[in-house]
Amino acid sequence: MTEPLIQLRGFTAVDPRSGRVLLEDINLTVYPGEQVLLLGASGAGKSSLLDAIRGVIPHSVPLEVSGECLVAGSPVLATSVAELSAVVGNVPQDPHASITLPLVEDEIALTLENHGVDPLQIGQRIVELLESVGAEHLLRQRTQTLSGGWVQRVATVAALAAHPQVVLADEPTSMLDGAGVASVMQVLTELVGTSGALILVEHRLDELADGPGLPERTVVIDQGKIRADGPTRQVLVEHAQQLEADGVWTPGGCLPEFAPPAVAETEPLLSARGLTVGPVPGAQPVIANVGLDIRPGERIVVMGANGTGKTTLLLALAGLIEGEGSLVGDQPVMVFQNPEHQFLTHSVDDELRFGLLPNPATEASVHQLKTIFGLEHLGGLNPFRLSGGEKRRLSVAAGLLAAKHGEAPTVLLADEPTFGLDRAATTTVLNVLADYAETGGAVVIITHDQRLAQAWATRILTVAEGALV
Amino acid sequence: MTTLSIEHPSTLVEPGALARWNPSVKLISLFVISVALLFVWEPVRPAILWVVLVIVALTVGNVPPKWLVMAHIPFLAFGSGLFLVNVLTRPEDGVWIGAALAGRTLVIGVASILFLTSTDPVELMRSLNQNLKLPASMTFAILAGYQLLLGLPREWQTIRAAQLMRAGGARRSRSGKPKLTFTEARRLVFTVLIVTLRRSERIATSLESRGFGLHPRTVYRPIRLRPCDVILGVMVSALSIAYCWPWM
Repeated sequence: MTEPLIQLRGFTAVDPRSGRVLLEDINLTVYPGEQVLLLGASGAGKSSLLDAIRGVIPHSVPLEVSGECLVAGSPVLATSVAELSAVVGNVPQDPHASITLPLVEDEIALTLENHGVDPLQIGQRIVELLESVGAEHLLRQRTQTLSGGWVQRVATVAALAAHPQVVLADEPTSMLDGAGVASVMQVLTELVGTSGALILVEHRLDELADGPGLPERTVVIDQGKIRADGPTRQVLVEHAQQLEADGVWTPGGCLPEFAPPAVAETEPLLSARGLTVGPVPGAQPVIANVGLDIRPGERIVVMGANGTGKTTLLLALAGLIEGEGSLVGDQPVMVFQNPEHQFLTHSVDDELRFGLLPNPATEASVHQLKTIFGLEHLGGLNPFRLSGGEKRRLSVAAGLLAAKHGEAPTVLLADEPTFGLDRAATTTVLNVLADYAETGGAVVIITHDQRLAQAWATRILTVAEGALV
Repeated sequence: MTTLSIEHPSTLVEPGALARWNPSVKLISLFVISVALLFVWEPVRPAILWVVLVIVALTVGNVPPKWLVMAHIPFLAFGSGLFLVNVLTRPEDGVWIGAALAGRTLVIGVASILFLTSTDPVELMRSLNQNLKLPASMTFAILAGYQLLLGLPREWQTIRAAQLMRAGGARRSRSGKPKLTFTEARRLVFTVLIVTLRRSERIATSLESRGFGLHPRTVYRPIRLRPCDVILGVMVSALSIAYCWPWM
């Protein structure tokens, strides 16, 4: 029998400050050639498990650990993160956070230089890596100018440039469109081959199932414990109810039906004509000559490849950036892509109440939304201390409250409001947004999720090269 | 929308002959010139040197005249301060000494402008690491910090837009720039700091996960130290020492 690549035995990790158990008695063995899908609701411990395997727990995040964690035979406790990186490659959840250098070429070279690759081979390796994700044209581009999807591809090949045997991928396709998903998944599986191992955390399982295929083995994690481990098909069937109840994304796990569109043929809430926005006056506009009427009841989804100007379109509709053209209607409310950017206060409660009239009606809807979004136990916490999913739910809730308690129904613009959320939270957000549209408002969201768009939207707008098509 | 951005001077100037000079040697030469000038206590020699360097900047250095003038503002301000203080405090030789010190400031100023406009920061860090053997952990930390700095204006703008939206001042920003109040500025700075701090933590972890800190490292694009780099450095250094030496 071959040696396992990853072996955890009775591994437990506890946060010494809060006493919270992040991982409990984890027993997991992964052999060369295996590909593992890691499922779990947000906060279940998926990222912690990956961190334990790559040594970030306990080397960078000081947790109390017990039990054993061996990677390629050597104990993680006695090996530094850098040393482990010869075996373990980590595709980051936030690709922007891994970019260090101004040029794409240098960014990829950095990994190869760190691992002492012969300089004469580095140039060729960089070209091959970029070609594998269809990004060879970016070789001499500046990393700062790339859009999210391209940054994700560059960060992925940069992370895996040294050909590690074990690949950990935490939502490696979160910012990609359909073609990007296929190419990144292909890179991951090719790299792993028959001698490596892949552990994948991914929400977009339908796109995987339809395209490159799901990994053969699935591990379900819940509240820091492994609940199920076995062949994917079997696990999905046997634990279907539990996964459904926990709100975990599963392949074929449908979104609920949304009420049919009830678009009123009245005056539009917001009407844009000839909207044009450029980075600097005179330069090639980011969005050009956009005309759009948004009527009460509409649920609009804005889609489009990476870097086509979706966010700029929303900012322009919100009147947040200067540009040409006319914009008629009440001030829309906008929820930003990074929730942290819009936090203004020091507690969740204050954040929700911000800018609203202090009256019983406000209190009632604050309370209602807190319950719906699962924030009721977090009222006194600082928004910056929440988990990623909690932050996003809070930002959407605050946006909804601002829109609901305005003088008149208005347009709510939300930039990726379901990003990184599990199925339960995604369904909640979509339901609440649909309710808002039904009560006389209108909602415009950006998403990469085709299935979500089909299920929810009353109208899908596709942005291509700064224009609506 | 006018996008705010920080640009390094070297990205805005057409690279001239000085851009090909090895960054470490260039930096050492700049240092030697600055130290040599400490021996000069009269204004004539700095004045001549300033004229020479301005000519170099405009020709070999490719620095646009408008830029050169703008970049002079801080050095002129500092220089005139030095001049005034000396005039007021030294009745006999205040004008002479003050002019010497002001001239010294201007020379160092032009020399620094020349250095900045002809040196790509990444090349400089690579060169310090490869040619002067500064530890990679230090040079890459500076580079990563520099990348964060470049991203700051955009971050600042987005956060400002997001906070304006929350505070209900969005429509105002379309018709003209809304004023930044003290409370808003405090919130803005707080969020920018937190977001940047988080990002730098993540960069550090990600660098480690990509094997940063392992030995031996190799170098993909070596910064060459050619004989002509060294000869030019020695010549410039020797000339500036000879020029500034108190012969009399």
